[in-house]
Amino acid sequence: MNEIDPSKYQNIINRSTPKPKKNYLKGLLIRTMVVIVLFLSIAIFYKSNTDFKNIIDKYIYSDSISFTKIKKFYNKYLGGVLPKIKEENTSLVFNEKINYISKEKYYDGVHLEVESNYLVPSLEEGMVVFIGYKEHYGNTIIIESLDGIYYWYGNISNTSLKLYDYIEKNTFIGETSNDLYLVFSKDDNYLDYEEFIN
Amino acid sequence: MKNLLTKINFHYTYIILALGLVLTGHFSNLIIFTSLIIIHELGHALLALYYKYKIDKIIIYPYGGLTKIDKKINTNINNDIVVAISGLIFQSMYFMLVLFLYKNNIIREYIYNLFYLYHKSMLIFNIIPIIPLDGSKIVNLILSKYFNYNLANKLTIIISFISIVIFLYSNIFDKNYSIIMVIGVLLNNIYKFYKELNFIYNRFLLERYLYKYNYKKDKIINNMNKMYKNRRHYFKYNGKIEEEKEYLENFFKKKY
Repeated sequence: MNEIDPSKYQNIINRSTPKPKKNYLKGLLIRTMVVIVLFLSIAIFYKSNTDFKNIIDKYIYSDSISFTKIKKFYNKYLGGVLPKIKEENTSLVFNEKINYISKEKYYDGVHLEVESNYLVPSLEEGMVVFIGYKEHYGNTIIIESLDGIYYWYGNISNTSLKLYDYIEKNTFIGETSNDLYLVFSKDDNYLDYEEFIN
Repeated sequence: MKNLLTKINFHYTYIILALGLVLTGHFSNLIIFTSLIIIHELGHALLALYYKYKIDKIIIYPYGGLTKIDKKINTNINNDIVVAISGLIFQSMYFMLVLFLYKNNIIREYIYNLFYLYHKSMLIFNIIPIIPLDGSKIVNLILSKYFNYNLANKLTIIISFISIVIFLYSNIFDKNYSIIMVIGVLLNNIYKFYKELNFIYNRFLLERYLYKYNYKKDKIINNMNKMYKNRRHYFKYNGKIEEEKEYLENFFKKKY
């Protein structure tokens, strides 16, 4: 039998010995310094270069991330997002379309006259992106559909929706009395309401 | 408890899924199903600690989790079944709490519906008998009560394959990228289990040789590969009968 040559097994010995612990504080400091340097360099560049300033203003300050557009991409190429069982479509559908007495143009949208205490259904599947007060429309809920169209529902009371809820088509949005305002917009343009309401 | 939480690992498939949910704005969905998975796994972990098993690590996958328990193979089968079921029980208890809060108008209907959906999904997914899931653990333990340990393990693998095929053909779940990732993880686990079959059986034999166990039922066999998990054996060979310990001692010493 030959003697065991330790240099032959150096690799294995090295692998099994535990690695020395890195200094946590040192690593944190280095990372913070890198972030500060990056931030300052972008800030200086933003001040000095007008083209760069315009890009930043356009895409970061004025545009918000569109969740529904990304969801449409996921649905199209990856088959959906949610890890869940298949559901039957029997959930909460209570109204097929909006029943109204009369309609007329109202600012950028349409004014529908409906019964008192009317329950408003959602016209399209989408995500709640705004809940609050809008001028001329009262308490407004804005829902962004998967096509990127914003559906505004004005003069709504008694809603159970919260920001960033996903709602299905024909589910309950809220209650309204006599006057319902609807606005349809896409990319800052207001769309013709005749397309959405027959 | 503090020790348990440090053992939680998030698998990369879970992180890919979480990224998708965050990008599409499903924040409440993400929080709800992650909380369900963690409660489920803590159920396994707490019962395992109660029976004084050691917990190796807790891995979180997209549709459920996996608690790796470092224990001896020759433990009481009924205790192991309790550990395997406890996840489902804890998850159901958590859901009952949510139901109670919903009935008292503390949480909204929207949130309750999401809880109900994910609770149902995870319950169905975990009951399927595919190898790392709870269903297969229960099936394996019940089989090892009535068949020998080797056969029980092999049958579990066959049942896993059959249920994977059925699972793919029946459209129970939404078909998307996450289910493909999860099926990859499942197949990998089945392959690992298949590769380790002999190793597991040898460990089982070695434990029988090293430690002292008491069983009520006896069994006379002639082949070492036909040992039961819940019986004491007598070996019949060359016309004489030997006790289990004696036979295994001969086996291990000759091999060495």
